[in-house]
Amino acid sequence: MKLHVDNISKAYGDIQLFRDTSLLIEPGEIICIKTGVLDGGTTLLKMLAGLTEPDSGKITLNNKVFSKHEPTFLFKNVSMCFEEGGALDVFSNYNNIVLPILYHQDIDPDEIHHRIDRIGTMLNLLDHMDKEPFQLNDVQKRLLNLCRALVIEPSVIIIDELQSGMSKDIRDNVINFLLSEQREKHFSIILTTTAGDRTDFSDRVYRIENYNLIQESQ
Amino acid sequence: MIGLIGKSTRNFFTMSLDLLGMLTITVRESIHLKDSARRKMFWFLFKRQLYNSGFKAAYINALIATILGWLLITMTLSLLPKGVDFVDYYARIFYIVSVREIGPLISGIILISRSATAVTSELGNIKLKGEFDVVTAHRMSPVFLFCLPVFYAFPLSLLMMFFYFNVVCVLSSYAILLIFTDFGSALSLNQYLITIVDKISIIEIITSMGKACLGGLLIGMISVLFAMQVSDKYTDISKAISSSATTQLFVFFLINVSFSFMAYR
Repeated sequence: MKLHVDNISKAYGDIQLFRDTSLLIEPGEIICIKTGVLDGGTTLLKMLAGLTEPDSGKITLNNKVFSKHEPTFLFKNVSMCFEEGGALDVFSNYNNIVLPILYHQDIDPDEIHHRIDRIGTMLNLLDHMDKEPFQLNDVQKRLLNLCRALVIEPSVIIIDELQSGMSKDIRDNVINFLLSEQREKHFSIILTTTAGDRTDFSDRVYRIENYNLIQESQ
Repeated sequence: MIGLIGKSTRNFFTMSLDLLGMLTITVRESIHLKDSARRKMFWFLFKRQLYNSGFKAAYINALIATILGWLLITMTLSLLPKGVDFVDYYARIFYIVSVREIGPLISGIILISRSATAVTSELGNIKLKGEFDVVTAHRMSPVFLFCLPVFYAFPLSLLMMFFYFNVVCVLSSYAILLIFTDFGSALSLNQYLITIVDKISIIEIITSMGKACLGGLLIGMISVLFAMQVSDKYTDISKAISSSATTQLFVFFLINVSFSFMAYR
């Protein structure tokens, strides 16, 4: 699934975040975007997920803007992993994964359970599935978001600062598992990173500078 | 003074229009129940809401109904005119006091204090923490997820609570009659129940169902409406809960009296 950012600009009041920014993400590509503090990384990801509209320009998924796609099509193809929260506190962690899937797909609950079991085990989340989101720490909440995205099996996974606060071992395990899933399922990954995060696994690395995305040489 | 009246009138009409809008959107959202995937999910949410608002309230409902049953027996014994059949007189007092007025009113108050405040608090928290972004991110309808279960479960919960209340009230009255008076030994449970059921007309049943359906519906929708008014302050949640409970008590009392007035005048 091709994701195309075409000359977008975005500002919140006087704060300009992006100006005439373009980016093309081909199916199966892994893109890292290095972000700093309040430089628009999360806003860019939200625009890529179709959750926020750019002020000008357009973002298309398979040559169609998000509003022209059916909600279920978007759900099956684009998943957003939030840096903070990303789960509803009124449901258990397990239900936070299951309910969006049940909403869109008439899928066998055993099949969902099987996927959660496999991915939850790899992300060390299985013991936390009956708990509620507020009982997880920040890293576990981000892993819960990732687990849900991987269970959905979309074409594009958008991940906001996954590696923050992770020890080296956890980070390596999570990235290795994400990459093994990506190789098997061929989804695209767009991931924001901060200082000290790994970017060596990506096809391209960008940084946000002067309201634009600047590609770094690998 | 005129300004205050004007502001209150405007608030009343704004709230009424908001409620009407929310009801319309919720009814429209029910169309998605035709989809089998959505139906499965709705069923899960509906059962959860019904369990919390209808079943878990049974014990407090039963406790108050037992106390009322005791009060009604005491009242009947003190008011019983000479030469009038005790059970016949009790049945008349029971359906006037419990079936028509106190049963619905107490059940409504329990629903407001236990479940409606919980719904306002939960949704207010979701709004405050910006968790609706999660719902949007997964392309789900917040109305389907949060309004629809309340829309269907609250009226049904209230109807169930009316039912428990009256059943427990009748049975506890009989138990008290049996234990503390001479009437009990001369009266079988069967005979007692038949006399009481005979007094309950179809009008009573329709009126009770009307009170439950409209009352439950409005209590639920008012909870959601006030929760959506939470903005960015933690104290907004407590304000929403108290404003919503006050409005619900007034609206439910009004519904109760209006239905009784129309049915029994």
